[in-house]
Amino acid sequence: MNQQRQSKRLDPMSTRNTDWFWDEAAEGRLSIQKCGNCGAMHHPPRPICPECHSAERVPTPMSGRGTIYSFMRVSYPPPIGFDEPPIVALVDLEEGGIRLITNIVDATLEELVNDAPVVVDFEKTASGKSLPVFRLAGKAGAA
Amino acid sequence: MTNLMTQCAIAGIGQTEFSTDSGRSELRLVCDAILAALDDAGLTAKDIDGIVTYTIDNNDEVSLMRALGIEDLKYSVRLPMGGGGSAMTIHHACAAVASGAASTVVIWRAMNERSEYRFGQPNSTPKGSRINDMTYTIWGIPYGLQFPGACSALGFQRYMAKYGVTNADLGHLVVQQRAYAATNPLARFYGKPITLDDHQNSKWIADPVLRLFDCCQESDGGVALLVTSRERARDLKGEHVRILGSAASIPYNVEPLTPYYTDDPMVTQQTVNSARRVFEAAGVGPKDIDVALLYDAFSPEVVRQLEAFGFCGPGEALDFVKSGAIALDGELPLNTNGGLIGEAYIHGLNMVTEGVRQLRGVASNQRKDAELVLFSSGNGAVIFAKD
Repeated sequence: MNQQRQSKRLDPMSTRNTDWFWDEAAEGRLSIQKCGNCGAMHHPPRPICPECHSAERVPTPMSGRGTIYSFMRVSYPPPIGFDEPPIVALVDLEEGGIRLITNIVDATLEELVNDAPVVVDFEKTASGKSLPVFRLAGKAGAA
Repeated sequence: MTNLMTQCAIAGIGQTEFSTDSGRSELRLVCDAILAALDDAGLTAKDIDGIVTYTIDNNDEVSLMRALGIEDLKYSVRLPMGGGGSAMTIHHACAAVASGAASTVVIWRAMNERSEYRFGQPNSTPKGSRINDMTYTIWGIPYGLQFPGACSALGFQRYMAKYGVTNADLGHLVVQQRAYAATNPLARFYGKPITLDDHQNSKWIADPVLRLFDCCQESDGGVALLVTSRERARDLKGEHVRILGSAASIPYNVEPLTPYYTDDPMVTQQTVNSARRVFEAAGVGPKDIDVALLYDAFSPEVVRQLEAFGFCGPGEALDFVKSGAIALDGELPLNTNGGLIGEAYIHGLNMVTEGVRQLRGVASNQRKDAELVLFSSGNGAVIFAKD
Protein backbone atom coordinates (compact mmCIF):
# COMPACT_ATOMS: atom_id res chain seq x y z
CA MET A 1 0.00 0.00 0.00
CA ASN A 2 1.25 3.42 -0.94
CA GLN A 3 0.09 5.60 1.91
CA GLN A 4 2.82 8.05 2.88
CA ARG A 5 0.56 11.08 3.15
CA GLN A 6 -3.11 11.79 3.69
CA SER A 7 -4.94 11.05 0.46
CA LYS A 8 -7.31 13.60 -1.04
CA ARG A 9 -8.58 11.18 -3.65
CA LEU A 10 -12.29 11.09 -4.38
CA ASP A 11 -14.26 7.97 -3.60
CA PRO A 12 -15.70 6.03 -6.51
CA MET A 13 -19.44 6.49 -6.98
CA SER A 14 -21.46 3.77 -5.37
CA THR A 15 -23.83 1.77 -7.57
CA ARG A 16 -25.43 -1.64 -7.12
CA ASN A 17 -23.71 -2.91 -10.23
CA THR A 18 -20.18 -1.82 -9.42
CA ASP A 19 -19.68 -1.70 -5.63
CA TRP A 20 -18.21 -5.22 -5.47
CA PHE A 21 -15.24 -4.11 -7.61
CA TRP A 22 -14.17 -1.61 -4.94
CA ASP A 23 -14.93 -4.06 -2.13
CA GLU A 24 -12.48 -6.46 -3.75
CA ALA A 25 -9.90 -3.66 -4.01
CA ALA A 26 -10.36 -2.99 -0.27
CA GLU A 27 -9.20 -6.59 0.28
CA GLY A 28 -6.15 -6.00 -1.92
CA ARG A 29 -7.57 -7.81 -4.94
CA LEU A 30 -7.95 -6.59 -8.48
CA SER A 31 -10.95 -8.64 -9.55
CA ILE A 32 -12.88 -8.73 -12.80
CA GLN A 33 -16.44 -9.90 -13.43
CA LYS A 34 -16.58 -13.50 -14.65
CA CYS A 35 -19.85 -15.13 -15.63
CA GLY A 36 -20.70 -18.04 -13.32
CA ASN A 37 -22.55 -19.72 -16.16
CA CYS A 38 -20.51 -19.34 -19.36
CA GLY A 39 -17.20 -18.09 -17.94
CA ALA A 40 -16.99 -14.93 -20.08
CA MET A 41 -15.08 -12.06 -18.48
CA HIS A 42 -16.17 -8.47 -18.87
CA HIS A 43 -15.16 -5.05 -17.66
CA PRO A 44 -16.65 -2.69 -16.66
CA PRO A 45 -19.08 -4.67 -14.48
CA ARG A 46 -22.69 -5.07 -15.54
CA PRO A 47 -25.71 -6.68 -13.90
CA ILE A 48 -25.86 -9.66 -16.25
CA CYS A 49 -23.56 -11.40 -18.71
CA PRO A 50 -23.93 -10.00 -22.25
CA GLU A 51 -23.13 -13.42 -23.75
CA CYS A 52 -25.59 -15.70 -21.90
CA HIS A 53 -27.59 -13.23 -19.74
CA SER A 54 -26.83 -15.08 -16.53
CA ALA A 55 -26.94 -12.90 -13.40
CA GLU A 56 -24.37 -15.09 -11.67
CA ARG A 57 -21.35 -12.82 -11.33
CA VAL A 58 -18.13 -14.14 -9.89
CA PRO A 59 -15.47 -11.58 -8.90
CA THR A 60 -12.29 -13.21 -10.18
CA PRO A 61 -8.82 -12.05 -9.01
CA MET A 62 -6.37 -11.11 -11.75
CA SER A 63 -2.57 -11.41 -11.65
CA GLY A 64 -2.22 -7.63 -11.44
CA ARG A 65 0.21 -7.53 -14.34
CA GLY A 66 -0.47 -5.65 -17.55
CA THR A 67 0.81 -3.19 -20.13
CA ILE A 68 0.14 0.48 -20.80
CA TYR A 69 -2.24 0.99 -23.72
CA SER A 70 -2.15 4.80 -23.56
CA PHE A 71 -1.34 7.53 -21.06
CA MET A 72 -1.34 11.27 -20.41
CA ARG A 73 -0.75 13.75 -17.61
CA VAL A 74 -3.88 15.74 -16.76
CA SER A 75 -2.78 19.18 -15.66
CA TYR A 76 -5.43 21.80 -16.36
CA PRO A 77 -8.01 22.40 -15.03
CA PRO A 78 -6.51 20.61 -11.99
CA PRO A 79 -8.41 17.38 -11.36
CA ILE A 80 -10.09 17.18 -7.96
CA GLY A 81 -8.32 15.01 -5.37
CA PHE A 82 -4.69 15.39 -6.46
CA ASP A 83 -1.77 17.53 -5.28
CA GLU A 84 0.15 16.97 -8.50
CA PRO A 85 -1.19 16.43 -12.02
CA PRO A 86 -1.99 12.70 -12.15
CA ILE A 87 -0.93 10.34 -14.92
CA VAL A 88 -4.12 8.78 -16.21
CA ALA A 89 -3.68 5.64 -18.29
CA LEU A 90 -5.45 2.77 -19.94
CA VAL A 91 -3.90 -0.53 -18.88
CA ASP A 92 -4.48 -3.89 -20.61
CA LEU A 93 -4.37 -6.83 -18.19
CA GLU A 94 -2.22 -9.80 -19.13
CA GLU A 95 -5.26 -12.11 -18.93
CA GLY A 96 -6.42 -10.46 -22.17
CA GLY A 97 -9.55 -8.62 -23.21
CA ILE A 98 -9.69 -6.42 -20.11
CA ARG A 99 -8.74 -2.74 -20.14
CA LEU A 100 -8.83 -0.47 -17.08
CA ILE A 101 -8.81 3.29 -16.58
CA THR A 102 -6.22 3.85 -13.88
CA ASN A 103 -3.29 5.93 -12.67
CA ILE A 104 0.39 5.19 -13.16
CA VAL A 105 1.91 6.25 -9.84
CA ASP A 106 5.51 7.11 -8.92
CA ALA A 107 6.44 7.71 -12.55
CA THR A 108 7.11 10.77 -14.67
CA LEU A 109 5.54 11.28 -18.07
CA GLU A 110 9.01 10.98 -19.62
CA GLU A 111 9.45 7.47 -18.21
CA LEU A 112 6.34 6.13 -19.88
CA VAL A 113 5.98 4.41 -23.23
CA ASN A 114 3.10 2.51 -24.77
CA ASP A 115 3.11 -1.21 -23.98
CA ALA A 116 5.42 -0.79 -20.95
CA PRO A 117 4.81 -3.53 -18.35
CA VAL A 118 3.08 -2.42 -15.15
CA VAL A 119 1.94 -4.04 -11.90
CA VAL A 120 -1.02 -3.25 -9.71
CA ASP A 121 -0.89 -1.48 -6.37
CA PHE A 122 -3.63 0.09 -4.29
CA GLU A 123 -4.11 3.65 -3.08
CA LYS A 124 -6.56 4.92 -0.49
CA THR A 125 -9.19 7.57 -1.07
CA ALA A 126 -9.81 10.35 1.46
CA SER A 127 -12.39 8.20 3.23
CA GLY A 128 -10.24 5.05 3.22
CA LYS A 129 -11.61 3.17 0.21
CA SER A 130 -9.09 1.47 -2.09
CA LEU A 131 -8.39 2.14 -5.76
CA PRO A 132 -6.32 -0.18 -7.97
CA VAL A 133 -3.46 1.82 -9.51
CA PHE A 134 -0.35 0.70 -11.39
CA ARG A 135 3.39 1.30 -11.27
CA LEU A 136 6.11 0.51 -13.77
CA ALA A 137 7.27 -3.09 -13.38
CA GLY A 138 10.85 -3.34 -12.18
CA LYS A 139 10.88 0.08 -10.57
CA ALA A 140 11.75 0.24 -6.86
CA GLY A 141 8.57 -0.30 -4.88
CA ALA A 142 6.89 -2.35 -7.62
CA ALA A 143 5.73 -5.79 -6.58
CA MET B 1 -40.59 3.36 -54.03
CA THR B 2 -39.13 6.67 -52.96
CA ASN B 3 -37.22 6.60 -49.69
CA LEU B 4 -39.12 9.29 -47.79
CA MET B 5 -36.12 9.78 -45.48
CA THR B 6 -34.43 11.51 -48.43
CA GLN B 7 -37.40 13.81 -49.05
CA CYS B 8 -37.01 16.12 -46.04
CA ALA B 9 -35.56 19.58 -45.74
CA ILE B 10 -34.28 22.18 -43.31
CA ALA B 11 -36.82 24.92 -43.87
CA GLY B 12 -35.44 27.43 -41.42
CA ILE B 13 -32.54 28.09 -39.07
CA GLY B 14 -32.31 30.34 -36.05
CA GLN B 15 -29.80 31.20 -33.39
CA THR B 16 -28.99 33.63 -30.64
CA GLU B 17 -25.71 35.45 -30.30
CA PHE B 18 -22.91 33.28 -28.89
CA SER B 19 -21.29 34.72 -25.77
CA THR B 20 -19.79 34.12 -22.34
CA ASP B 21 -22.89 35.53 -20.63
CA SER B 22 -26.23 35.56 -22.39
CA GLY B 23 -27.90 37.56 -19.61
CA ARG B 24 -31.11 35.55 -19.90
CA SER B 25 -32.53 32.15 -19.05
CA GLU B 26 -31.84 29.03 -21.06
CA LEU B 27 -35.57 28.83 -21.81
CA ARG B 28 -35.47 32.33 -23.23
CA LEU B 29 -32.50 31.30 -25.40
CA VAL B 30 -34.53 28.43 -26.86
CA CYS B 31 -37.46 30.76 -27.54
CA ASP B 32 -35.24 33.31 -29.25
CA ALA B 33 -33.59 30.65 -31.42
CA ILE B 34 -36.90 29.03 -32.40
CA LEU B 35 -38.56 32.37 -33.16
CA ALA B 36 -35.65 33.22 -35.45
CA ALA B 37 -35.98 29.86 -37.21
CA LEU B 38 -39.76 30.31 -37.62
CA ASP B 39 -39.19 33.76 -39.05
CA ASP B 40 -36.56 32.39 -41.43
CA ALA B 41 -38.98 29.72 -42.67
CA GLY B 42 -42.09 31.87 -42.69
CA LEU B 43 -43.89 29.68 -40.15
CA THR B 44 -45.49 30.34 -36.77
CA ALA B 45 -45.25 28.54 -33.43
CA LYS B 46 -48.70 27.07 -34.08
CA ASP B 47 -47.26 25.16 -37.04
CA ILE B 48 -44.87 23.18 -34.79
CA ASP B 49 -46.16 19.67 -34.11
CA GLY B 50 -42.91 17.84 -33.32
CA ILE B 51 -39.84 18.57 -31.24
CA VAL B 52 -36.43 16.97 -30.86
CA THR B 53 -33.64 17.83 -28.46
CA TYR B 54 -30.85 16.26 -26.40
CA THR B 55 -31.45 14.26 -23.22
CA ILE B 56 -29.15 16.68 -21.41
CA ASP B 57 -30.85 19.91 -22.50
CA ASN B 58 -32.18 21.54 -19.31
CA ASN B 59 -35.34 22.97 -20.84
CA ASP B 60 -38.57 21.06 -20.52
CA GLU B 61 -41.19 20.58 -23.18
CA VAL B 62 -44.16 21.98 -21.25
CA SER B 63 -42.42 25.22 -20.32
CA LEU B 64 -41.29 25.67 -23.89
CA MET B 65 -44.82 25.14 -25.21
CA ARG B 66 -46.17 27.60 -22.63
CA ALA B 67 -43.69 30.23 -23.69
CA LEU B 68 -44.09 29.86 -27.44
CA GLY B 69 -47.79 29.00 -27.53
CA ILE B 70 -47.26 25.63 -29.22
CA GLU B 71 -50.71 24.04 -29.28
CA ASP B 72 -50.22 20.30 -29.50
CA LEU B 73 -47.24 18.05 -30.08
CA LYS B 74 -47.69 14.81 -31.96
CA TYR B 75 -44.05 13.84 -31.68
CA SER B 76 -41.40 14.50 -29.03
CA VAL B 77 -38.07 12.79 -28.52
CA ARG B 78 -34.79 13.37 -26.70
CA LEU B 79 -31.57 11.80 -27.90
CA PRO B 80 -28.60 10.38 -26.01
CA MET B 81 -24.81 10.55 -26.55
CA GLY B 82 -24.44 14.26 -25.72
CA GLY B 83 -22.97 16.23 -28.61
CA GLY B 84 -22.11 12.96 -30.34
CA GLY B 85 -25.82 12.62 -30.92
CA SER B 86 -26.31 16.08 -32.42
CA ALA B 87 -26.58 14.82 -36.01
CA MET B 88 -28.99 12.14 -34.78
CA THR B 89 -31.51 14.89 -33.99
CA ILE B 90 -31.91 15.52 -37.73
CA HIS B 91 -32.15 11.81 -38.48
CA HIS B 92 -35.03 11.52 -36.01
CA ALA B 93 -36.77 14.67 -37.22
CA CYS B 94 -36.67 13.18 -40.73
CA ALA B 95 -38.05 9.90 -39.41
CA ALA B 96 -40.98 11.80 -37.89
CA VAL B 97 -41.69 13.75 -41.06
CA ALA B 98 -41.16 10.80 -43.43
CA SER B 99 -43.46 8.56 -41.40
CA GLY B 100 -46.14 11.20 -41.08
CA ALA B 101 -45.84 11.26 -37.29
CA ALA B 102 -45.33 15.01 -37.50
CA SER B 103 -45.17 17.62 -40.25
CA THR B 104 -43.08 20.42 -38.77
CA VAL B 105 -40.37 19.44 -36.34
CA VAL B 106 -38.21 21.87 -34.42
CA ILE B 107 -34.80 20.79 -33.14
CA TRP B 108 -33.13 22.87 -30.46
CA ARG B 109 -30.14 23.07 -28.14
CA ALA B 110 -29.63 26.01 -25.81
CA MET B 111 -27.47 26.51 -22.78
CA ASN B 112 -25.75 28.93 -20.46
CA GLU B 113 -22.87 26.51 -20.08
CA ARG B 114 -20.39 29.34 -19.49
CA SER B 115 -22.26 31.80 -17.27
CA GLU B 116 -24.43 29.42 -15.22
CA TYR B 117 -22.28 26.31 -15.00
CA ARG B 118 -19.02 25.10 -16.49
CA PHE B 119 -19.72 22.24 -18.84
CA GLY B 120 -16.08 21.38 -19.48
CA GLN B 121 -14.62 21.68 -15.97
CA PRO B 122 -13.63 18.89 -13.56
CA ASN B 123 -16.55 17.21 -11.88
CA SER B 124 -16.59 15.23 -8.70
CA THR B 125 -20.19 14.20 -9.21
CA PRO B 126 -22.06 13.14 -12.32
CA LYS B 127 -23.83 15.78 -14.38
CA GLY B 128 -27.51 15.62 -13.64
CA SER B 129 -29.03 14.13 -10.53
CA ARG B 130 -28.81 10.44 -11.35
CA ILE B 131 -25.79 8.22 -10.84
CA ASN B 132 -25.59 5.81 -13.74
CA ASP B 133 -22.98 3.31 -14.84
CA MET B 134 -21.32 5.48 -17.47
CA THR B 135 -17.59 4.96 -17.88
CA TYR B 136 -16.62 8.50 -17.02
CA THR B 137 -18.84 8.71 -13.96
CA ILE B 138 -17.82 5.50 -12.26
CA TRP B 139 -14.36 4.67 -13.62
CA GLY B 140 -12.92 8.05 -14.55
CA ILE B 141 -13.63 10.46 -11.72
CA PRO B 142 -11.57 8.79 -8.92
CA TYR B 143 -8.55 8.64 -11.25
CA GLY B 144 -8.64 12.29 -12.29
CA LEU B 145 -10.44 11.70 -15.58
CA GLN B 146 -12.98 14.34 -14.69
CA PHE B 147 -13.72 16.50 -17.71
CA PRO B 148 -14.53 15.91 -21.38
CA GLY B 149 -11.22 17.16 -22.80
CA ALA B 150 -9.22 14.63 -20.80
CA CYS B 151 -11.60 11.86 -21.88
CA SER B 152 -11.05 12.73 -25.54
CA ALA B 153 -7.27 12.86 -25.13
CA LEU B 154 -6.69 9.56 -23.33
CA GLY B 155 -7.13 7.11 -26.18
CA PHE B 156 -5.63 9.49 -28.73
CA GLN B 157 -2.15 9.35 -27.19
CA ARG B 158 -1.73 5.88 -28.69
CA TYR B 159 -2.70 7.17 -32.13
CA MET B 160 -0.04 9.87 -31.82
CA ALA B 161 2.63 7.37 -30.80
CA LYS B 162 1.65 4.92 -33.50
CA TYR B 163 1.68 7.43 -36.35
CA GLY B 164 4.43 9.71 -35.02
CA VAL B 165 2.31 12.83 -34.79
CA THR B 166 2.53 15.48 -32.08
CA ASN B 167 0.34 18.15 -30.57
CA ALA B 168 1.96 20.65 -32.96
CA ASP B 169 0.45 18.66 -35.84
CA LEU B 170 -2.98 19.17 -34.27
CA GLY B 171 -2.04 22.84 -34.11
CA HIS B 172 -2.20 23.18 -37.90
CA LEU B 173 -5.84 22.12 -37.78
CA VAL B 174 -6.67 24.58 -35.01
CA VAL B 175 -4.87 27.47 -36.74
CA GLN B 176 -7.00 26.93 -39.87
CA GLN B 177 -10.22 26.75 -37.87
CA ARG B 178 -9.36 29.91 -35.96
CA ALA B 179 -8.60 31.62 -39.28
CA TYR B 180 -12.13 30.75 -40.40
CA ALA B 181 -13.55 32.02 -37.10
CA ALA B 182 -11.57 35.23 -37.45
CA THR B 183 -13.57 36.17 -40.55
CA ASN B 184 -16.96 34.95 -39.26
CA PRO B 185 -18.78 37.75 -37.40
CA LEU B 186 -20.98 35.19 -35.63
CA ALA B 187 -17.96 33.55 -34.01
CA ARG B 188 -16.76 33.98 -30.44
CA PHE B 189 -13.27 34.32 -31.90
CA TYR B 190 -14.16 36.74 -34.68
CA GLY B 191 -11.14 38.90 -35.43
CA LYS B 192 -8.88 36.69 -33.30
CA PRO B 193 -6.77 34.39 -35.47
CA ILE B 194 -3.91 32.49 -33.86
CA THR B 195 -0.49 31.33 -35.03
CA LEU B 196 1.04 27.91 -34.54
CA ASP B 197 3.24 29.51 -31.85
CA ASP B 198 0.15 30.76 -30.02
CA HIS B 199 -1.23 27.23 -30.15
CA GLN B 200 2.02 25.75 -28.86
CA ASN B 201 2.21 28.35 -26.10
CA SER B 202 -1.29 27.64 -24.84
CA LYS B 203 -1.29 25.63 -21.65
CA TRP B 204 -1.34 21.88 -21.48
CA ILE B 205 -4.69 20.32 -20.69
CA ALA B 206 -3.50 16.73 -21.06
CA ASP B 207 0.19 16.38 -21.97
CA PRO B 208 1.22 15.15 -24.62
CA VAL B 209 -2.13 15.29 -26.43
CA LEU B 210 -4.22 18.35 -25.77
CA ARG B 211 -3.59 22.05 -25.19
CA LEU B 212 -6.10 24.75 -24.31
CA PHE B 213 -6.46 25.88 -27.93
CA ASP B 214 -7.35 22.33 -28.98
CA CYS B 215 -10.56 22.68 -26.97
CA CYS B 216 -13.86 24.30 -27.78
CA GLN B 217 -14.75 27.06 -25.36
CA GLU B 218 -17.89 26.84 -23.26
CA SER B 219 -20.44 29.24 -24.69
CA ASP B 220 -23.87 30.62 -23.89
CA GLY B 221 -26.32 30.47 -26.76
CA GLY B 222 -29.02 28.59 -28.58
CA VAL B 223 -29.68 27.17 -32.04
CA ALA B 224 -32.92 25.93 -33.60
CA LEU B 225 -33.64 24.11 -36.86
CA LEU B 226 -36.98 23.48 -38.58
CA VAL B 227 -37.42 20.23 -40.46
CA THR B 228 -40.30 19.53 -42.79
CA SER B 229 -40.90 17.78 -46.10
CA ARG B 230 -39.16 19.06 -49.24
CA GLU B 231 -42.51 19.44 -50.86
CA ARG B 232 -43.80 21.72 -48.13
CA ALA B 233 -40.50 23.54 -47.82
CA ARG B 234 -40.70 24.60 -51.47
CA ASP B 235 -43.82 26.62 -50.66
CA LEU B 236 -42.28 28.38 -47.66
CA LYS B 237 -40.52 31.71 -47.51
CA GLY B 238 -37.06 30.56 -46.49
CA GLU B 239 -34.53 29.04 -48.87
CA HIS B 240 -34.57 25.42 -47.74
CA VAL B 241 -31.81 22.86 -48.06
CA ARG B 242 -32.48 19.22 -48.77
CA ILE B 243 -31.54 16.54 -46.28
CA LEU B 244 -30.17 14.12 -48.84
CA GLY B 245 -29.27 11.45 -46.32
CA SER B 246 -29.01 10.94 -42.59
CA ALA B 247 -27.74 8.18 -40.34
CA ALA B 248 -27.16 7.17 -36.76
CA SER B 249 -25.09 4.58 -34.94
CA ILE B 250 -24.71 3.57 -31.32
CA PRO B 251 -22.50 0.44 -31.46
CA TYR B 252 -22.09 -2.06 -28.63
CA ASN B 253 -19.68 -0.95 -25.93
CA VAL B 254 -18.83 2.42 -27.50
CA GLU B 255 -19.31 5.68 -25.59
CA PRO B 256 -18.64 8.89 -27.50
CA LEU B 257 -15.85 10.40 -25.38
CA THR B 258 -14.66 7.28 -23.61
CA PRO B 259 -14.59 4.51 -26.24
CA TYR B 260 -11.90 2.66 -24.34
CA TYR B 261 -13.24 -0.86 -24.04
CA THR B 262 -13.28 -2.03 -27.64
CA ASP B 263 -10.42 -4.10 -29.07
CA ASP B 264 -9.13 -1.14 -31.03
CA PRO B 265 -10.27 2.26 -29.72
CA MET B 266 -8.46 3.90 -32.61
CA VAL B 267 -11.32 2.67 -34.81
CA THR B 268 -14.26 4.92 -33.95
CA GLN B 269 -16.93 2.41 -34.82
CA GLN B 270 -19.86 4.79 -34.36
CA THR B 271 -18.38 7.12 -36.96
CA VAL B 272 -17.40 4.33 -39.35
CA ASN B 273 -20.98 3.07 -39.22
CA SER B 274 -22.52 6.53 -39.59
CA ALA B 275 -20.25 7.27 -42.55
CA ARG B 276 -21.14 4.09 -44.37
CA ARG B 277 -24.85 4.57 -43.76
CA VAL B 278 -25.02 8.25 -44.67
CA PHE B 279 -23.10 7.80 -47.94
CA GLU B 280 -25.35 4.89 -48.80
CA ALA B 281 -28.50 6.84 -47.95
CA ALA B 282 -27.42 9.88 -49.96
CA GLY B 283 -25.95 7.90 -52.86
CA VAL B 284 -22.69 9.85 -52.80
CA GLY B 285 -19.12 9.33 -51.58
CA PRO B 286 -16.34 11.26 -49.83
CA LYS B 287 -15.09 12.83 -53.07
CA ASP B 288 -18.49 14.43 -53.69
CA ILE B 289 -18.49 16.46 -50.48
CA ASP B 290 -17.84 20.20 -50.95
CA VAL B 291 -17.71 21.24 -47.28
CA ALA B 292 -17.27 19.03 -44.20
CA LEU B 293 -18.49 20.08 -40.78
CA LEU B 294 -17.00 17.63 -38.29
CA TYR B 295 -17.82 17.80 -34.59
CA ASP B 296 -14.74 19.28 -32.95
CA ALA B 297 -15.27 19.62 -29.22
CA PHE B 298 -11.54 18.74 -29.18
CA SER B 299 -9.16 18.66 -32.12
CA PRO B 300 -8.46 14.88 -32.00
CA GLU B 301 -12.14 14.26 -32.79
CA VAL B 302 -11.65 15.82 -36.23
CA VAL B 303 -8.76 13.46 -36.97
CA ARG B 304 -10.92 10.48 -36.06
CA GLN B 305 -13.76 11.60 -38.32
CA LEU B 306 -11.58 12.53 -41.31
CA GLU B 307 -10.29 8.95 -41.31
CA ALA B 308 -13.60 7.25 -40.50
CA PHE B 309 -15.28 8.99 -43.45
CA GLY B 310 -12.51 7.95 -45.80
CA PHE B 311 -11.33 11.46 -46.59
CA CYS B 312 -7.89 10.02 -45.90
CA GLY B 313 -6.37 6.75 -44.75
CA PRO B 314 -5.54 5.69 -41.19
CA GLY B 315 -2.83 7.89 -39.73
CA GLU B 316 -3.00 10.38 -42.62
CA ALA B 317 -5.45 12.99 -41.35
CA LEU B 318 -2.92 15.49 -40.04
CA ASP B 319 -0.80 15.28 -43.21
CA PHE B 320 -4.02 15.92 -45.12
CA VAL B 321 -4.62 19.00 -42.97
CA LYS B 322 -1.05 20.26 -43.42
CA SER B 323 -1.31 19.87 -47.19
CA GLY B 324 -3.82 22.73 -47.22
CA ALA B 325 -6.73 20.46 -48.05
CA ILE B 326 -9.05 22.00 -45.47
CA ALA B 327 -8.59 25.63 -46.59
CA LEU B 328 -11.35 27.32 -48.57
CA ASP B 329 -9.55 26.60 -51.87
CA GLY B 330 -8.55 23.10 -50.79
CA GLU B 331 -10.20 19.82 -51.68
CA LEU B 332 -12.24 19.73 -48.47
CA PRO B 333 -12.96 23.03 -46.72
CA LEU B 334 -13.54 21.97 -43.12
CA ASN B 335 -15.41 23.62 -40.26
CA THR B 336 -15.68 26.84 -42.24
CA ASN B 337 -17.46 28.72 -39.43
CA GLY B 338 -14.44 28.06 -37.21
CA GLY B 339 -16.06 24.93 -35.85
CA LEU B 340 -17.02 24.45 -32.24
CA ILE B 341 -13.43 25.47 -31.42
CA GLY B 342 -13.68 28.79 -33.22
CA GLU B 343 -17.34 29.78 -33.51
CA ALA B 344 -18.94 28.50 -30.29
CA TYR B 345 -19.77 25.28 -28.55
CA ILE B 346 -23.51 24.97 -29.03
CA HIS B 347 -23.13 21.24 -28.81
CA GLY B 348 -22.97 20.65 -32.58
CA LEU B 349 -26.10 22.39 -33.84
CA ASN B 350 -24.21 25.52 -34.89
CA MET B 351 -22.44 23.34 -37.45
CA VAL B 352 -25.82 22.79 -39.13
CA THR B 353 -26.58 26.51 -39.40
CA GLU B 354 -23.18 26.86 -41.11
CA GLY B 355 -24.03 24.04 -43.49
CA VAL B 356 -27.28 25.73 -44.45
CA ARG B 357 -25.50 29.05 -44.98
CA GLN B 358 -22.95 27.34 -47.24
CA LEU B 359 -25.72 25.89 -49.42
CA ARG B 360 -27.58 29.20 -49.48
CA GLY B 361 -24.35 30.87 -50.59
CA VAL B 362 -24.29 33.28 -47.65
CA ALA B 363 -21.53 31.87 -45.41
CA SER B 364 -18.81 34.23 -44.22
CA ASN B 365 -16.25 31.81 -45.61
CA GLN B 366 -18.19 30.71 -48.65
CA ARG B 367 -17.10 27.68 -50.63
CA LYS B 368 -17.76 28.58 -54.24
CA ASP B 369 -20.65 26.57 -55.72
CA ALA B 370 -21.10 24.38 -52.64
CA GLU B 371 -23.70 21.74 -53.43
CA LEU B 372 -23.13 18.99 -50.88
CA VAL B 373 -22.29 19.51 -47.22
CA LEU B 374 -21.52 16.81 -44.68
CA PHE B 375 -22.19 17.22 -40.97
CA SER B 376 -20.91 14.52 -38.64
CA SER B 377 -21.13 14.28 -34.88
CA GLY B 378 -19.71 10.78 -34.50
CA ASN B 379 -22.90 8.96 -33.55
CA GLY B 380 -24.70 10.46 -36.51
CA ALA B 381 -24.16 12.12 -39.84
CA VAL B 382 -26.19 14.14 -42.35
CA ILE B 383 -25.56 15.15 -45.93
CA PHE B 384 -27.27 18.37 -46.99
CA ALA B 385 -27.81 19.32 -50.61
CA LYS B 386 -28.81 22.38 -52.55
CA ASP B 387 -32.34 21.77 -53.81
